[in-house]
Amino acid sequence: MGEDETLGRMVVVDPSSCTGCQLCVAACSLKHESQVNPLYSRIRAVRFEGKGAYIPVTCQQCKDAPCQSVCPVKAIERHEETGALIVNQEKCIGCKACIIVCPFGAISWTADGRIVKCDLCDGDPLCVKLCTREALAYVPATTAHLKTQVKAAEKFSEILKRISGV
Amino acid sequence: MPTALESRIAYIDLSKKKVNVKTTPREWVKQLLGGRGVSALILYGLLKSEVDPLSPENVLVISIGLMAGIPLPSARVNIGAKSPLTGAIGSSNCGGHFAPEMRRAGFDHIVIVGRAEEPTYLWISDGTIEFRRATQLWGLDTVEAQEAIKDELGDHSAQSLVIGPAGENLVRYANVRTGVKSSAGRTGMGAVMGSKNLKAVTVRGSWDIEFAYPDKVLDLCIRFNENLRKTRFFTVMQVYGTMHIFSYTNTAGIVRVKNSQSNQLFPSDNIEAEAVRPYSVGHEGCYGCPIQCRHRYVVESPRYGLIYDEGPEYTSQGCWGSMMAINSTECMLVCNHLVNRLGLDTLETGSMIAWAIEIFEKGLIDEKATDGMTLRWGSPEIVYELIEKIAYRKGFGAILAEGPKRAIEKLGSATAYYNMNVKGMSWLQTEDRAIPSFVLGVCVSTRGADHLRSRPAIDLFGLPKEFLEKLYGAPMTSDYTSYEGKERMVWGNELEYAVIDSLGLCKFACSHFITPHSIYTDTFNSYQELSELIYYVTGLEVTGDQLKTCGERIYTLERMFNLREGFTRKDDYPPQRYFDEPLPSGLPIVRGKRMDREKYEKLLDAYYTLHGWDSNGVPKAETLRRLGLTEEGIKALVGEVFG
Repeated sequence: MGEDETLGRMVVVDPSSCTGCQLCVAACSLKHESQVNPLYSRIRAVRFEGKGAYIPVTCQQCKDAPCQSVCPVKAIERHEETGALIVNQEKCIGCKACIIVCPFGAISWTADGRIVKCDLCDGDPLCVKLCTREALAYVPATTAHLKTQVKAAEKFSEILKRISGV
Repeated sequence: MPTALESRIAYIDLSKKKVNVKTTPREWVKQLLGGRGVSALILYGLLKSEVDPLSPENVLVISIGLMAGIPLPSARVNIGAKSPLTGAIGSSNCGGHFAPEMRRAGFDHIVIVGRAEEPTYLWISDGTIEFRRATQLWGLDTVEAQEAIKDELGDHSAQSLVIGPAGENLVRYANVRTGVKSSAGRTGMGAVMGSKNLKAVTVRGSWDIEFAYPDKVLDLCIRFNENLRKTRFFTVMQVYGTMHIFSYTNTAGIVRVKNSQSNQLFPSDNIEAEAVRPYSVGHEGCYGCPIQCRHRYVVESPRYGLIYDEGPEYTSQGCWGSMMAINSTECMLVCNHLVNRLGLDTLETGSMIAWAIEIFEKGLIDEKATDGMTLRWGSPEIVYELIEKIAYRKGFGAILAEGPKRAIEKLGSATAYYNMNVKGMSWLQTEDRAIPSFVLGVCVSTRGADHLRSRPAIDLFGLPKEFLEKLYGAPMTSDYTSYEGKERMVWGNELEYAVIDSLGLCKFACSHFITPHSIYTDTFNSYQELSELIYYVTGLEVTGDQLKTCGERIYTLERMFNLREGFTRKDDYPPQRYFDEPLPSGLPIVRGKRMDREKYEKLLDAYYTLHGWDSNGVPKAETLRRLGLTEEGIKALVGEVFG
């Protein structure tokens, strides 16, 4: 399978549907670390409470991934089937350079000294499964833009309605 | 690392600026679980009768549920103290994101006594407790204060319980709030914080929350999520929240209108759940909740400008809509915003204002009492004005700020008949005199008139007798206007809700609070399922029967607190109006209904019997022995921490 094909699906976030409930955060931590601690969750839903904005942030499994490029021991490997960037704990030396370069802050360091990040739950992401608002979706990357496109079109149609009075 | 079984209690003396940390005894968890249950024990054990609730001697208990932090709706935090509104036990809980943060910060229970010399807030982080100056926060509204604390600490994720101007001004029904909307609303816990010069309690933790069987907890969480989504209740709650109830209750004629003069408001199109949708910009979820029942909304008001807030709930919909006879979405959204920001209990505020308007209308008070205001129904401006006056105790507002008992004393005994309260706390926004189970539940509630101690909403569905019998373990009618068997319905729900509150779970997610739908699915609606959850989370084996006994113990303990303060059977009755005035409109089964005193007396007797209390509502000696609540038993339990 070629590199481009393995980047087939992604977790796409829709901040306008997120309610900030932290269900994905708590469940992710519980699944991967057997305890609940947002610090170790691979996903975060950042809450700007007073302003009413909630922004989910997670690994985008970048094509030219800075974490992969910066890793001095090539410990971040692409999963053949899911395309997820996986930390090979055997190779990892814990230099934390990946944490510094990740533009999404999607990589974290556990108290017992491991680099952890989203592994797409082997192709069945738990966060997506539990999100009841569809603020998270696991979709082919080629169609990831569609939902946003439709939303934009809806807004545009409302404007048209107002202008034309239809 | 915090687990539910190895949690800690912080005892904080604000006068002496001293902190003492203890371990939560295993026995407390086994007998009272956490949250509301543990709070009742601490209050009973540490308070002496006749303590002035607004004096430094009052004890404030912030207590999270035993299940706090699991990926389920588990974030209820309970605030307890002797209530400055009623003089009975004060206890109120709310959701939001505070409870899991408090557990991560290293504490399950925070006990606060004394009074700080100057406005103070507590900063509790990873096991440490710091007293911080709050003079710069004094006067800020509840959301401004939380944002200012985050800015000051430079910690965006810190969670706070705060009071607003109403709490600072000792309004006897000021609430305690977290986030934009979550409110521990009832019984005036905000006034207790205000009396202690305590503006906020802020928590932040990086500690792990650990479980006995993490994989099993995760499985349950996934199963719960999947099953809940299959219910219609879920779909409706996700879109409309609790406001969906109104269309039925208003049609049936079981909402309070113009204080308590009528039971239907038409037209009501602007206060129906659908009317709020155009103002909604999304929804808001408490920690771990797949439902997320509240709107985030934006509304433009000529008086207040652009407003952002969350809600409203069914209660605010009733208080600021039907109870005031105002069919206006904007009024409802603005009032909800005002009480939220000022830190007032929406229900008590609405009820006091409705009472004021009725007694003005009846000529029992005039402009001299109301600072020249002509009170009348249907005016948003009058309601806005009164809300502000109450929060800042200005003029007539200072009288209303005192709550039912004291305001009646000031405005004359003739006004008492029109004040809809039990034990000094106002009736909710519903008109219940056609529904004996609801009335009984509200009247025997340990914290004064209140539905969240027992409300058997399931009674409204007219479910088959066989089904109800299976659910409650005894024969029961399917007719909600009947008295037959209703003591068991109320008693059964009281125990269940006491357990749910003490576990810190949300009633919407784990019981048949609103709808029978959840019973048909596999959500946490039986003691057996809750017992399984407790085992996976804590490793503690508590059988379903033992859990039910926990519910009995908690309820009886709260009752004992009230008995010690002089409350007896005489305080377990609805207002006289419920016996005197038939309902003027509504469905045929509702119209013309009023309570029957003789039948109510019998219902009360039967209810006391189920609890093992005598005909005065006093627990019998054998009941106290069975529940481990003899004076020696309680002393031993309390002594494990406060010996």
